[in-house]
Amino acid sequence: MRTALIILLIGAVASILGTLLPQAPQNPAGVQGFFQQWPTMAAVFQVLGFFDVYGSWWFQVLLLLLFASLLSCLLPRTKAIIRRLFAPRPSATERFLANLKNSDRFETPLPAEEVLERAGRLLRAHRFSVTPPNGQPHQLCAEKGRYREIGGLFFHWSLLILLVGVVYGKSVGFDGSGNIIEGDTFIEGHLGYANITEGKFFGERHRGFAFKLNDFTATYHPSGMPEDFISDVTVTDNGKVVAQQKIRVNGKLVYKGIKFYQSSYGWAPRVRVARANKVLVDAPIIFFGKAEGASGVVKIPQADVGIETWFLPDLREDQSGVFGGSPYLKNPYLLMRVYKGDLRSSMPQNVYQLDTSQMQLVGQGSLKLNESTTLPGTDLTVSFPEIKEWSGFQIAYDPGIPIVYFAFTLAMIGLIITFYISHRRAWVMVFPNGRKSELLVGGIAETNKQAFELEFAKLVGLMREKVGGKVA
Amino acid sequence: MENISVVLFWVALVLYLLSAVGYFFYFAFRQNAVGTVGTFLAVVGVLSHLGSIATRWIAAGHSPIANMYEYTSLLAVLLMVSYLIFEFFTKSKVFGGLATGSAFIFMGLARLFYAEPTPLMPALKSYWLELHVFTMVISSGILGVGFIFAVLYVLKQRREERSRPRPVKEAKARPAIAGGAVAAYAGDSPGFLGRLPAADALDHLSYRTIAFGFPLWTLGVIAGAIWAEQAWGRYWGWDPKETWSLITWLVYAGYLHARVTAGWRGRPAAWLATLGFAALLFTFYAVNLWISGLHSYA
Repeated sequence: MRTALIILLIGAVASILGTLLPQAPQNPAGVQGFFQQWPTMAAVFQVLGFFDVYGSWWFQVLLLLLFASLLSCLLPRTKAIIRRLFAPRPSATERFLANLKNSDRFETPLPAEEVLERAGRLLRAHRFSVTPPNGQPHQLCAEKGRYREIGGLFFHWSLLILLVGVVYGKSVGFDGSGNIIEGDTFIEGHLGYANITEGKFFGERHRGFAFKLNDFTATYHPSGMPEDFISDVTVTDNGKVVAQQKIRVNGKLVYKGIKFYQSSYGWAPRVRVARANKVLVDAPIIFFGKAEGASGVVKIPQADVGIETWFLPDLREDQSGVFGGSPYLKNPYLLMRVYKGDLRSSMPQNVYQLDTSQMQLVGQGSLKLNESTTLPGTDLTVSFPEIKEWSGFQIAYDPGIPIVYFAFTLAMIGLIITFYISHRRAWVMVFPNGRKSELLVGGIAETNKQAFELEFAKLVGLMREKVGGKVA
Repeated sequence: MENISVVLFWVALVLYLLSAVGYFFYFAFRQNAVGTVGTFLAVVGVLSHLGSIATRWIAAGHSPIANMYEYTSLLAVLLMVSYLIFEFFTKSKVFGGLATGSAFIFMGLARLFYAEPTPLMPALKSYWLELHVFTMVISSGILGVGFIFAVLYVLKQRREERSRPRPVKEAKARPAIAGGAVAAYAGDSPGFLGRLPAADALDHLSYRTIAFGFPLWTLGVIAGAIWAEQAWGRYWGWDPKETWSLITWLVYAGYLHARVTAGWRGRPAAWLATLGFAALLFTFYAVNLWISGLHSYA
């Protein structure tokens, strides 16, 4: 128990670290910035895994230790509690009852059997479960919230199950993303993803179905804030349409356990570049940025030309220059900066960025939708025949989720039992004395003792009234 | 609508302040009439505050729990409503100044976060918004009350410690030596602390409150995880807000273990409760202000 708590404490400190330092999986740019600012410290942190705390080997070791320590203390505890639950109720001794804080003793004119009968009825009416303990004919044992201990058991087991669910889901599942242009089809396979992290035991069991983005719609509030964005998709498996659905934020698509979540979107202008009559490039290109103005690059290696472009769906102009007025296609324009030189295509590089270190700016220009022009500073013609949108999906396969949710449920049940139920016990002992008898009542509660004191006082009051005083 | 909401908000803020002054005055001078005025002002303040929230709801077109201003304002009104229910049933104004005073501070805090009402961003359009945020607000309110009890325990306990060993004669002689201020503190006039329950009872109350709030906090975090799975594609992503809610949870879990398993009582437990509440405040405010993440809503 103590070991588990210490591990949890170390885990908490590590987690704090992870929120204060930029983390590579969520914020790679932040990590880069840290490296530029404090190179030595960053190198040390890198080795220690501080830029990916939650994925570092020592965090996983910590989880493993937690698992082992939880298991090693849960197993014997579970056994002990189950044994106690099924054991016969313990009987109380006269001394034990008389010394309890909640204890009362009085005489009654009734015979012992009648007293036990009436006291039992009274306790049952107050939702106590009443049993005669082993071999003690003149005693009653009453109990409420007997299963409270199970609450703690449920809760701690749920942590263990949660850990299993998380690790199982991560190791046989995957987590990826894909950006799909309207009209395009995504094939569910390793190469289809823009990014993918597969679990160690996933084993490349991709499903291979086709996921087509028919149409994408984004709507906006007058303030320019997005109101909703919706992808209309069709899933085809083995030539058969198996799902047709609109995916929106908070509205995913699930097929064969693989879930598609709406996560981002943007413009995809189709740009055609030609030399004389030979088309060099003709494809929609994914642009990133805001809906009012996004940027992208066009690379034409055949001509050693690269274009940095901005797309404004609603170009407006004032004395300070041009700007994007709204996210709607009211006055769509492409703005271009044309570079000539070495594209450095042989180097590993980001397709969405232009490395202009070996290039020169040769011209600037703009192009309206459905128009074409000579690309400034070159012998090429460029046209802008079509504007499309792309939709970005978070795509995940996590078979551990049912286990995780089961653990959540179990944890809640456990906590409710532990903190909202209290275990109360009471004993009634009768000492026959001819036709009369004497009664000893005692009670005990492990938690919420003050409330039990009141309850016990009330019970004894009723007992004195119904069992003690007048004979009916 | 928006303007009405702002005006009603200010009215509530001022009324809470006046009400707090009334409650404290009532304590200092035992003027029952002033206490009644304090309650009256608090009730009118709550009505105005509820009006502010309702008009904000209409202006924004969604339940007003989508940003820090709305969240903090909701926390303040919940605090006031629960306090008034408490006062109505117990007929005790002991916690009046404390409740209205904290509500006033939260209103000021809310004002710092003020943002125009805006429609919901798509990520928040889900019934999980209400489930998750309300659970978090309610549980943080309850855990906050647990913290207040812990603070009161420390104050009361120190006072009990100081007044216990002194014989009666000495206590009576003291005003002549050290003046009225010491007398007021030492127990000749019970004042605020004197009216509070005994230190042990406050300690227990603090534990009971935290034990009540902890499962709710857990539920709120779980609701958040399930919602994150619905909207973002994973139930846990080590987003700073998520991580800090877990850290807060761990501190409170530590507190409960310390009390139940290791038998901690009194001051060490009160420190742990304070640490838990500090982590909670960090989760709610510092994470949004200083660390950027998926939970950064205005």
